Amino acid sequence: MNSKGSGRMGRLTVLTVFTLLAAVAVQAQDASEEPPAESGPDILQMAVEWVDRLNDLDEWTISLDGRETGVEERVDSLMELFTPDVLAQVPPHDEKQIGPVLLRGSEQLRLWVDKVARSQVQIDYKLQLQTQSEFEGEPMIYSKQLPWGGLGLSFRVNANYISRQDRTSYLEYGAVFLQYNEEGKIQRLRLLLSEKSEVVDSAGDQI
Amino acid sequence: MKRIIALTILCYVYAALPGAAQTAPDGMELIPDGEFWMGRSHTLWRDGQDSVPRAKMDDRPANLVHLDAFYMDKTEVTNSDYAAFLEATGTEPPWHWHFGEIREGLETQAVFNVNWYEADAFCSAAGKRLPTEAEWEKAARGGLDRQPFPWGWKDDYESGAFGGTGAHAVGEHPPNGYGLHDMSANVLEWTNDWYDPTYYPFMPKVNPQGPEDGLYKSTRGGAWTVGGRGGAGERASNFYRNFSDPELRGLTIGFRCAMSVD
Repeated sequence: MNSKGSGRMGRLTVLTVFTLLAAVAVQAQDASEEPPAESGPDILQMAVEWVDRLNDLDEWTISLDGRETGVEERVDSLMELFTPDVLAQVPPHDEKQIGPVLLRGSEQLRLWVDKVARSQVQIDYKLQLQTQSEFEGEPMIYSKQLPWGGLGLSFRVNANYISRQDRTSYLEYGAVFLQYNEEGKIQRLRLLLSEKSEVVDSAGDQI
Repeated sequence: MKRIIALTILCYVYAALPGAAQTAPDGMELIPDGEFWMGRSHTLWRDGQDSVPRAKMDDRPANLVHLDAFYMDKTEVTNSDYAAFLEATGTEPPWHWHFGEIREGLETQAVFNVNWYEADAFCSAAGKRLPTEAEWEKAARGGLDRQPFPWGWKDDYESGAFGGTGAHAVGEHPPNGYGLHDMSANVLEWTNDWYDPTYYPFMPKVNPQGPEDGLYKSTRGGAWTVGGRGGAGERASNFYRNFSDPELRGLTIGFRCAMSVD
């Protein structure tokens, strides 16, 4: 090969490399100009927020003169999540009731929340976790965009609490179904819990 | 002297016996004091159907309610009972009465086309009152615990006065455990309570008197209209809650009275 041929070959190589580099650069530029993928609501955060505010219902104190202080604030904090026309189905809230309790509107739901706050202590609802293969406890949150707008969420919970009246510890398993409207407020709540059973240690003694 | 003392002791013992001093007035039965489960304590297939208007969850949750003893009419008020009241008070007769008179042979038929105010006036004139919704339900249950019909579990067409073309004569069917007839049939019955579908979740557990106000009065019990070949269904049950405008006179609504035990 003479030097002329060799020079032409060199130019061709440089041109090819340049073209490739340019193509990569353009592609990279295109990619960087793409709008970021729209991130959906953080459903885990939404579930955790609901559970946390429910668990916080016992975070109030009794003052030296015997007044219950801070209950209203805790109740307000949970009620902030709901719309005024919320429809809620919850378990019975006293020993003299059987069957599901349907609550219509935030005013009635507030009565239930207030009753929980005043009658249960060490409220500890936990998102139930699932372990599978290398996963060691994944919170399972199921969600669906509602056809009428808003978001539906459901998840399993373990509900543990102590009765303030007799200090008995109870554990119930269940599931929570929440329907959020487009403003992020809960319009429908269904809290389904299994039959209430007392928590005992392996010897059968009360915990 | 010994005899007098013994007699006195006997009198005290007798007075202390349950019901001894509580002889029911004529035509009434004593409903003993105590607790009962008010409302629906079991599940119906429709509970799982969101397509059914949720307002009909108005019978849940069931509540363990305590009532003082009271008396309840054995039967619904009849046409002839009501005619006597009209004569004494000059009140207008039900509009369907022919020239203001009961048709021959219908004297013992349950009266209907009487609004709540007229029913209330009738009971007051008799020294009685309309039962509360809780009293009505306890009376209807006849002492059976958490069973849907006055006669028990079975949706038994023959046990109630269902079907037909109108109200029946009262007392044609067997009484329930408290000796009351037609609690689940014949005509619906006015109660004293205002109707509120949201009342049960937080209702008082002792002698509940119903909401303070409302638009409708609660009516209870099945009516002749609810019968079907398959039975009367939940609309004839002890727990089913119905309601009506207190001004309304209806072909299916009558009443019976209650009275407190002093």
